[in-house]
Amino acid sequence: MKRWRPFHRIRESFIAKISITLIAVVLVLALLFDLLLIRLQEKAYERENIKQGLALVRLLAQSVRLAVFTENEQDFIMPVNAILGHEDVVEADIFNNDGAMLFRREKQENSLSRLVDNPQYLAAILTNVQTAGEMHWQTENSFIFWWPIYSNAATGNDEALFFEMEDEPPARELIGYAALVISKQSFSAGVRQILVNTGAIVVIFLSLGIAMSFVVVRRMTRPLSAILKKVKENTGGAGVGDDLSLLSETYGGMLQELERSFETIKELKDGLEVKVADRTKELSDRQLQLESANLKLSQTLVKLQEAQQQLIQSEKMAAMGQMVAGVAHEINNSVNFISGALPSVKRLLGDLKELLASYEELEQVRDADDRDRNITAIRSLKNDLDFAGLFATFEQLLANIEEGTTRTTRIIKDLKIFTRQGAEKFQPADIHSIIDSTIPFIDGKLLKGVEIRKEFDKLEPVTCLAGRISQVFLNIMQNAAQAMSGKGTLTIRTWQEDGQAHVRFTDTGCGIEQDIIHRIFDPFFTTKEVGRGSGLGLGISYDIIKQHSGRINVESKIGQGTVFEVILPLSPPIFPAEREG
Amino acid sequence: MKKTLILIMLIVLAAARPALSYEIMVVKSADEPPMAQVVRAFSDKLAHLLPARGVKSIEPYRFREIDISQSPIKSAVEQEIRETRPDLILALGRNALLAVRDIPRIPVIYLLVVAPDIIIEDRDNITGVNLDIPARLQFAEISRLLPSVRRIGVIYNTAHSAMDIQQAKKDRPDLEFIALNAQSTKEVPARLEELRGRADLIWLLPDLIVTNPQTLESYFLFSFTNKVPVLAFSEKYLKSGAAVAVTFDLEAMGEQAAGMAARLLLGAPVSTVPPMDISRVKTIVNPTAARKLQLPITEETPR
Repeated sequence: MKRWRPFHRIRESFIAKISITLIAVVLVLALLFDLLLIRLQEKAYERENIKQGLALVRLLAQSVRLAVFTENEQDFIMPVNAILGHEDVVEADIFNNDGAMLFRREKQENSLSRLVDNPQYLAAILTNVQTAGEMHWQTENSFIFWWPIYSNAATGNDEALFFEMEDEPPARELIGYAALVISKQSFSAGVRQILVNTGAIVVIFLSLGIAMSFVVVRRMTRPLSAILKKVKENTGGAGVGDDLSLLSETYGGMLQELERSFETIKELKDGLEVKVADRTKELSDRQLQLESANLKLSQTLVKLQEAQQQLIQSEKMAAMGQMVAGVAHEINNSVNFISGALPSVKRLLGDLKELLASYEELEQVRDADDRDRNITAIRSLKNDLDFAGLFATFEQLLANIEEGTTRTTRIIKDLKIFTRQGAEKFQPADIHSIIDSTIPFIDGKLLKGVEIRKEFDKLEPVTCLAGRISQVFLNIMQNAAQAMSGKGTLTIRTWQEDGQAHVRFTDTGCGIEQDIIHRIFDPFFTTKEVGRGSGLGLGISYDIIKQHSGRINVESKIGQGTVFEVILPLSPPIFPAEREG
Repeated sequence: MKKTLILIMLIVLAAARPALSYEIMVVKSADEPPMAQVVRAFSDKLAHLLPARGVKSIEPYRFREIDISQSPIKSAVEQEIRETRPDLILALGRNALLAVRDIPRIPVIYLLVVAPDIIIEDRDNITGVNLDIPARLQFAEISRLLPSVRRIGVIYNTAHSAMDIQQAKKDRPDLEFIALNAQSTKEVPARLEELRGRADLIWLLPDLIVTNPQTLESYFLFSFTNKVPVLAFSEKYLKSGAAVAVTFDLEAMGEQAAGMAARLLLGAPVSTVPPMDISRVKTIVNPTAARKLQLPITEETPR
């Protein structure tokens, strides 16, 4: 259990120390102030008493002029008694100008009596009074005042008896001296009263001062207390004596750290210029390198742009090649109908020519036998020729030729639709027609085992560059076909929603890795073997859809397939520039 | 005929000898208000007394003034007077009379001079108006104002003012004069004490031994202590505590001197115009003192 030790706590508390110091200072200052105030008041009171004493002695000197003039003792009694009526006046002495005492009245024995009884002292005093005009001093118990006594001097001018002589100041003549002894009793009582009053005032103000000091210190040191509390919390308050030591150590440590920091800063500062110079040089070198690299990059970029153009061209050529291959395959298939039928048609046509030649010979044979023989031969020929099935075969062959022709016509028609050479303008187009016309251009080999499932909903015409959109669809479907490796289902679903046409291509292919799915629209990005794809197909597709203010979404799962969804506004808000129109 | 008469008058006037006005030299001891007042009265009166001399005269006389407090060297004053050669010298004050007393033949009239006899000695061209107020005039006023006063206390010095006491006793035998001799100024307070209860009035004499700044306080202290009024010979003592002042009338003195001057200027020898006492007095009462001394008088202005 912690013991309550107030003095120990005060010794430790910095705030308590400040408070005690401040109070001690206030106490000392108050005492000094008190002493000074008392001294000043005492001096002022003393001056006032001296002034009063001088006034009294002057009054006495004035009032005893006639008595001094006449040196009649009776004349002194009244004025001297009047002055002695003042309770503090204890003695009054009157001398003539020769220093002879004319009158003395005293209430008590005092030092003046002894002093003036000495002729030497008296002579010195009177000389001093005459010279200075007055004289005063004080002893332990009394104040002593001297004043010369003057009388108006008689002039020798008879006219002055009758007239006011304005120009002549009234002459005066020294006729004696007055001395007063004033007791210090009242003065001492007054001083004591001053002491008490001043002391009381100082005690009151001191109490208020201490109280205010305490309050002020408490308020002013509140932030300090908070700091101390924080420091104690941080240090655990262990191992340190008092608050001051704690603060001293804490701030000492901080100062040391600061000094170290400053030293480090100084060192850094010292090395900074060299480092800056080095770094500047390095930067200059780097800049040169960068400029060089930049130049190389610019050159490379130019080369890349050229390569890109070449690649685009290659892609175009490849696409064209693919398309041409498809078209060639289709045309070949169509032509196969014709070219396959042609030998048979030629053979049948030879058979028919042989048969017709047999009939022509028959016509020329007049002999019945010969006719019969010929007829038999004709019949035999017919049998050989399967005459009954010849026309059927012929018709079949014609049908094949017609089919080949029809197919070729359709291919050309589709090719025209696909290329849309005259249609590179934004204009309403049927998305379904674009899809249908694009499918044939997919590499037929890729679609051998692929089922194309169409789930077309009702779609309003979309304002677009139909050829471009067709290119997009071809890219997507071509990729889907490639991903399914000739086996799977490509589902094409369309629908309209919120003024947008949605076309979703869902394949059952191998899918795309999630870590590269975000890169598939990057130019030149491809997972195909070298030479099989340029990596520009989806990039171009992305640009085309953006051109139409639409978007392409892609989702894929490895082993399950990929979904491309093309979303096109039915009417793009602003028709993009028809750069290629 | 009328034109002829006017012509004759003009010829007579043109032929007339230019007549000079009287040259009067005023010599003042100081430039004090009483002197200016007396000169003014002298001047005014003289203008009425002197006829215009000669047909061309416009002013009967002309004043020139010398303030000897400004030029105190006697010889310089005498020199100036000799050069000016005035018809008459008016000396105002003791010092003025001292300055001009040795100028022969020119008639001198003095005014405001205390005890002029001592200065004049045997000179025969000097006359004037004495400053002393005759006791008869003083006590005539006292009898008028304070008829109950019978005992007159007075301090005098045998050497200086014994004559005044004798004259007073002679003039007013109906009054009792308790005259005490003070050999020195210091004796005055003691002498005054001797008058306690013996006098109805204290009479101040123009004697510097008994009447001076050192003794005045004793007089007035005695006066107020014993309720005895002080009769002064000058107005200046009223404010110090005198109850009544019977004093000279400066205007009357000036006029009196003007009369003497007119006679002298008109050719009368100085010996026929002897020094004169003042003919008229002025009585002034100090109302404060009168009230405090409970005097049955109210008159404040000169008679």
